[in-house]
Amino acid sequence: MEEITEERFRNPEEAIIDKVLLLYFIKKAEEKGKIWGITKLMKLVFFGEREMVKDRVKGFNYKFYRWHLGPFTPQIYEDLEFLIENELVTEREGIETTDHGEAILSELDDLLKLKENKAVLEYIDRLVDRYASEGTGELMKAAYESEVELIPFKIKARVRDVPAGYDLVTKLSETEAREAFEIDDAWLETLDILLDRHAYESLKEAMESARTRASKRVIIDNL
Amino acid sequence: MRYELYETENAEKNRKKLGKKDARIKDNIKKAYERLSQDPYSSTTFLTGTLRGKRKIRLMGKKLRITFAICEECRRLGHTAFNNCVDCEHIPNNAVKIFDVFFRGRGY
Repeated sequence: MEEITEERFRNPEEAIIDKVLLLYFIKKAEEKGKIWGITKLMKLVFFGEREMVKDRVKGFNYKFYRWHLGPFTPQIYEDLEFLIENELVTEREGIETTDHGEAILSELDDLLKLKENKAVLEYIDRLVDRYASEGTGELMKAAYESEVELIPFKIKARVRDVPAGYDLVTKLSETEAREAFEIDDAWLETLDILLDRHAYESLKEAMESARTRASKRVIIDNL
Repeated sequence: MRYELYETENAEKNRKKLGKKDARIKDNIKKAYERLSQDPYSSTTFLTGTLRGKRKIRLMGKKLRITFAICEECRRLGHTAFNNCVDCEHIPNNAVKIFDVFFRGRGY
C-alpha cells in the first residue's frame, strides 16, 4: 500500500490555487449551461482534474475517491463554502459567480494570462465546452463509465468497478508535473486578501482613507 | 535606521478595536509595529495586481495581517501613483505607512 504522507494533502498554496481555479471554472461553466448543484460541479471538476493529471499538468489539487454517487471529494464542499461565504459565488439559482466574484476574476487577469497558467485554463475551457451543457444525470453516467488509473496499483479501471473509498484521482506533486499553475509569493499574499471579502473591503476603505485623509504618527510606547 | 510609523484612520480604528477584544492580539500588534519600525523589509512580502505598492506582514499563525508601504521604497519604485497618499509630502523617507490591520479567525 502507498504510504500516506503529507504530500497527498493540499498545502496552503494548493488550496488557494484550487479556489481560484474553481471560481474560474464556475464562471466559464455558467456561460455554457446551468450548474444546478454541487453534484454536477463535482463531476465537472473531476473530469477536469483527471484530464490534467493524465497529461501531468498540475492545476486542481483535489483528492477524488469513489463514493456512492461516483467520484467525490469533500474538498470541493469546503472550497465552495469559502467562495459563498466571501460572496464570490452564490447558490441562489444554481451555482454561479456574483458580480463581486467576476470583479475579482478580472483583477486576476495578469495572473491568469501568464503563459503557464493559460495552459492550465485551456483544460478547463475545453472541458466546459464539452460537458457544461450536459445534465447532472448524463454527467454522473459519464463519470461512472470513465476510466482512471488506480493508485497505487497502476492499473486502469472504470469508476463503476472501483470499490467505495478507493482513490480515483489525486493531485500531482511538483516533481510529477510537466506543467503547473504558477503563482509567486506576491500573488499568494495578494490572493489571501482579495479572496477574503472582509479583508479586501477593509483594505479598500483604508486605501481610500490614505488618499483622502492625513495619517497619524504612531508612538509605539503609547500603544 | 529606525522608521517612523504612520497609521491611516482605518488602521488606527481596527487596531484599537482588536486590542480591546483580545489582549494577545494587542501584544502581537505592538510587537509587529516594533519590528516594522526596526526593519520593515524583513519577513514581509510585496503585494501585486490591484494591491501593488504595498507590503504585508502576517503574524499569529498568519491570522493577523498588517498591510503597509515603506515610504522610501514607495518613492524609489514610483509606487506613489498606486498609493496616492494625500499626506505624502509631509511624511519623511524613513517612514512606514500602515494602511490596515486585519485579523481573520480562520485560515484556508
